[in-house]
Amino acid sequence: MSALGLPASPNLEHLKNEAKELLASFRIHDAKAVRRVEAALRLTPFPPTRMLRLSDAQLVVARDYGFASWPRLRNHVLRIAKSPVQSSIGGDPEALAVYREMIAAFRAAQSLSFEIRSEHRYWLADESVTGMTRLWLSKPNQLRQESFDSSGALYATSVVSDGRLLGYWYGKRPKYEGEEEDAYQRTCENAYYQRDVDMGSTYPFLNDTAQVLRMMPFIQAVEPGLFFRREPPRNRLIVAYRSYGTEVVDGQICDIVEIEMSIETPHRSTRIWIARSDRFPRRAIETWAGAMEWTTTEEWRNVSPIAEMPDGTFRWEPPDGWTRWSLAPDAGLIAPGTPAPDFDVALLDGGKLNPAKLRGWKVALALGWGWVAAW
Amino acid sequence: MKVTARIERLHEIGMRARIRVVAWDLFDVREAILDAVRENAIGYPILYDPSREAVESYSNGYGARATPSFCIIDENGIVIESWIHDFDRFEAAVERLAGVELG
Repeated sequence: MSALGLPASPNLEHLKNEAKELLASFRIHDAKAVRRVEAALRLTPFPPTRMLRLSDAQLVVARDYGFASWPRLRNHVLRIAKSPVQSSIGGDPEALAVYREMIAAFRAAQSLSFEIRSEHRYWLADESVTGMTRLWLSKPNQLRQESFDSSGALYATSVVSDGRLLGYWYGKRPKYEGEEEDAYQRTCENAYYQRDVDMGSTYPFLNDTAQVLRMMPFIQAVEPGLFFRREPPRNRLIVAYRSYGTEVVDGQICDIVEIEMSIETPHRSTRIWIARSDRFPRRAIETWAGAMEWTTTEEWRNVSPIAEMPDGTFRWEPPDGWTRWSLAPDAGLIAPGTPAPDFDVALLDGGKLNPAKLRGWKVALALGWGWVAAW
Repeated sequence: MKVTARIERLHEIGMRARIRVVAWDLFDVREAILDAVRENAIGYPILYDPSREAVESYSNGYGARATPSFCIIDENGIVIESWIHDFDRFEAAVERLAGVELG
């Protein structure tokens, strides 16, 4: 994205006014304004039957500054305004170097095993969830994950090998919203899940399927998908690195690095204790401050970057009598012909959306889990 | 083509035909924001309300669970069709409603 001609510190109000003035000038047939609109909208001449709207004028302004749309321009400006170091990454160079060494360590390892003991705390609800995940990773695309609940009981395992994920539960699988009780009772035991995965290019299994299927406690603060050379999406949003000295964790001298990410409304920071011996994490605390505040604390244990993988680590076949399970295609879906349920939620751009605002329009609604990022 | 780009295209198609294309990343709002910012793809409305109440009301009403769910609502607020999983169907539905020639 280019931002040619945009001031170093652009002001959103000035840009809004520019669009309004352009609209006003166009409506009195100011020749310069008409030419500008026609050029930016690629409509020459501008159709006499069409009324120029403010959104059109905003699009003209956005395109003149090198942006594809007004929302993109607006978000660019907001992001710069929120960033304490403008659009460049700032902070302690040594902290940045240590963080990069951690990523390099993940990518250099051919095999890796570790445990993550974690607590996920929702501050507003004053709730916390604890659990433990044990992982074995092997390049190029093999993974085994065992998930333990807060009591230490193993409740799910998933295995990825040869582009296929097999996941299964010990005892009953979780019940999903919208799932009929009878259907659940018929399929809750001896069930497994299967899907194709591509560890190199798709949304990482660890933050997608594993959570969807409740095969792991929650999102990782430090994403093990780094091992599979995935570009951490957060890297694009980091605005500052900081060093917080050293501390011994689990017998390892660790450099403490904090990365601060700035996005529109929420604010997130992750503090990572990175071992000097192998540059893998030993602790991470991620704080998310926004509409919903939470903190994830991870303790990494038994980190082994040269882990030997026992035979069968990445193999599993469903035993006889087990059933491949997937969500029923229509469980919980609202039936055609019925009124759309009410909703009132915030938009990323700060606006609100509710059905009343959408009357007179057809609405195509797509809801999902992580899919905006995933697909 | 990434779904973000596909939705943005649908949004542009829809705006010309009074179809509002709305995407909501129901649970993992964090990654949705990350990706949207990364791709500068907030050219269409992404809902952002991670409160538990919103999640519950939405998921109960629209069938969005751990699975991508889709819904087409007419001008009077009546659901025309709903389904899960199939984004291609979503794309086709918007194009059909907008009268876009497929092919």
